[in-house]
Amino acid sequence: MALLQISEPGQTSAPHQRKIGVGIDLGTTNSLISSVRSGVCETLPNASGQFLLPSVVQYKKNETIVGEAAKQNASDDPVNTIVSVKRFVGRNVDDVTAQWQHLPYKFGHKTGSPIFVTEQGQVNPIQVSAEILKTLKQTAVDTLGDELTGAVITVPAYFDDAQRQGTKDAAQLAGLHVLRLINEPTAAALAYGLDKQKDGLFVVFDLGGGTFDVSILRLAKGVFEVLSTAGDTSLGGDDFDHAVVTHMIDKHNLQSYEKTHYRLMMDVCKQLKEKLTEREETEIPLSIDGRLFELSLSRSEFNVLIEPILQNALTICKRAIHDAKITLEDIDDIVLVGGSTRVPAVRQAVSTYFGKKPLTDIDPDKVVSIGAGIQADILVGNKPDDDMLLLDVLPLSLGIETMGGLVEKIIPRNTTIPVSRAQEFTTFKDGQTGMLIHVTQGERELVSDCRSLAKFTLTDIPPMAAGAAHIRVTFQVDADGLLHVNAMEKSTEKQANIEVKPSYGLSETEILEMLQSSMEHAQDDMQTRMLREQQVEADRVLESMEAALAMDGDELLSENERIEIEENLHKLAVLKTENDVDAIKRQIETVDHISQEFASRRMDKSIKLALSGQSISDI
Amino acid sequence: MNYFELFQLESVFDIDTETLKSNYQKLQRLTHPDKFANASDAQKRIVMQKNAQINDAFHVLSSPILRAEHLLTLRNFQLADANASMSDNEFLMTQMELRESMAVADGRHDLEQILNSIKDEQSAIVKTISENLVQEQDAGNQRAALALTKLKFFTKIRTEVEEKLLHT
Repeated sequence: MALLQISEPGQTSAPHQRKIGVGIDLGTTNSLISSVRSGVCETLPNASGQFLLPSVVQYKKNETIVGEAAKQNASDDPVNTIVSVKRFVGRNVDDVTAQWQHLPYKFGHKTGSPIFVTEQGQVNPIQVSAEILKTLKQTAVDTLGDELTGAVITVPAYFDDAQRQGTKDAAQLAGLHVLRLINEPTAAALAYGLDKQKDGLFVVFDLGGGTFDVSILRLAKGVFEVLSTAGDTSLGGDDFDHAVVTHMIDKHNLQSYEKTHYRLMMDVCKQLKEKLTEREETEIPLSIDGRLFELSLSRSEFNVLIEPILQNALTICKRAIHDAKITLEDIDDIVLVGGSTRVPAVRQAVSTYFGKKPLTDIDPDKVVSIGAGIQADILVGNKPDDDMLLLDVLPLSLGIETMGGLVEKIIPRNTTIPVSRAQEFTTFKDGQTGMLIHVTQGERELVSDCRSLAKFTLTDIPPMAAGAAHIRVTFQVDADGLLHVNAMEKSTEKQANIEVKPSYGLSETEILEMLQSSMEHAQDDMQTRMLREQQVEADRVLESMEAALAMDGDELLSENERIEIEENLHKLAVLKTENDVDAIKRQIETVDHISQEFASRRMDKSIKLALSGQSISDI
Repeated sequence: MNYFELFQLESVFDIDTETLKSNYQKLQRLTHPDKFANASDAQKRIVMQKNAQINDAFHVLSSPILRAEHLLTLRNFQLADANASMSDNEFLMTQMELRESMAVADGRHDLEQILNSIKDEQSAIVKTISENLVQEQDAGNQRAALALTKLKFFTKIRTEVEEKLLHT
């Protein structure tokens, strides 16, 4: 008699195939990667045991160096060593150089998308970011010993559409499958909330070197809901350094050196600041052109200097609390993120304002990446029974340009995403067949005060009398915070063509070209990678369709509908084993198309079941 | 699309907000894109649309103004016509008085007082809307639509007062 195999409750008898999801904090100064191992999310060290990878890339003639070694070389080879590339992602070169003067790089042109001219040739911020991501990916593969299923990458809550898209493009270029982009403060709250399994209202106070973000989240019965987010992209620890420099220039009459030695003074004042975290008083010598100045500073002097900056940060907190429709007393915990929250005065100001001691038990450098790692583990499907749900919001209002350069808001900030809003437009002239829609992001009323996101040109509008054509434009923001637009003429139901011209970053063709050229140098070529991707997608389609047919095929499909779907699935299964990428792709599209109605019916059925109190495990 | 039906609620103005919230969470768990991170692209698209619709429906049903408008639209009532015929002298006076008191308001105390009186007005109007929408009849719809216009005004001015308070 054969022995019966009995598995433990809740486990299947099939060998447990664990998928690997990683969380990546792609930071301005340092980057980290984390993953869940044996139920705990840990930051992964590289071969030399380091957890923090400096976000620095050096482009030498025949070699690209990333991380600590590149950082060491930065002062000797400033032109070819790109530091803080995050500031450039999704922005124009003139915006960045206006904010940070004295940057040592050689730019391909003075306006538009930044291009760094290095010994190795021209590189853009997406490529530089991709180098950092590739290095982190390698660390994970080396440590975990397996291929990665997917990654969750964090972005500042205040990143706009172009900056998010740029981050996603960099991940794609690095060969990472992006499961989701999540906001840094949200990730930090996840790390604490899921760690402590405790319901309540969290404030995440994230003060980095150059940016400040504050988010308010509610955790209730496994649902993590972002209530509001606010911030300032040019408020951070760097401002503390500036305040100290200004003070020292006055005190020691250094005005004549301000232009020539500002960088040096900044470095020394930064050291002063850092020393004051541990001490009450400190001094450092500053030597300029052979003259020696003894710079000294006490903690109480420093606190007075940074007081106005802290007040600005607290005003932003006030705004976030107002937007969340809560009061100060409702808040249960405060989470500190970012290196600048190590400053004692910052901790003091936060404690006083909120009337509570902030949580600091997770390393503020690691907390974001750990939260992302936890979310990645859930998204790859390692916790199928997990009830956790993350509801995030749009950080900045989306609007369109109207007459006179004014902005009309289409989707206000702090709206839960994904979100979809439609707006109707009409033609201005008889027979008009085209239209230009300018999408902006920001809170101000004038187009010139907001960020320009993209210009959409609608063509092929059926010619009609002025005002007769009604064009319905749908703006959709997905769970990554990225914008999608489509347009339709209502009376004819004709889809208008949309051509997108992003105001920042790269177009889709440029991304594809970059991907192609990077493949030319790599061992596996583009064709192989694309075939593999299509085969994986075909498997996904086959698997989910077969499960769907088994569950609901009899109930929701007519005989003919079912036969049509089954025949096409069979065709896809056959094509999958052959090597024609385009044929697989086309067949997947066919299956998608003919099964759309079925998918909608199943969704409606499961909604009805769920609300009538019956549980449904899967749809 | 009837948003009340989506949440399996009766199509009335006075909904049970607890049921609305708990049904919203059930639907979120079912349709959130994170639950479909490994699904096919087509499935992801359908899911995203459904989830966005659920978010929008929740937004509409949670707001008294949008909920009343949605209900009136479902009743085939033309909202635009009601907006055009706003000729309530008493209300115009109230508007002017409020604007005046805002202009001379001095400090938090004054603003908070104005805010409280706005809140009282809002609750009274919501009550009027609710009473007039109980039954589906034209006269009631008309009165509700008129009250809605007033509610919108108070909501707008409330935002302004709150904005001022934030900077005081």
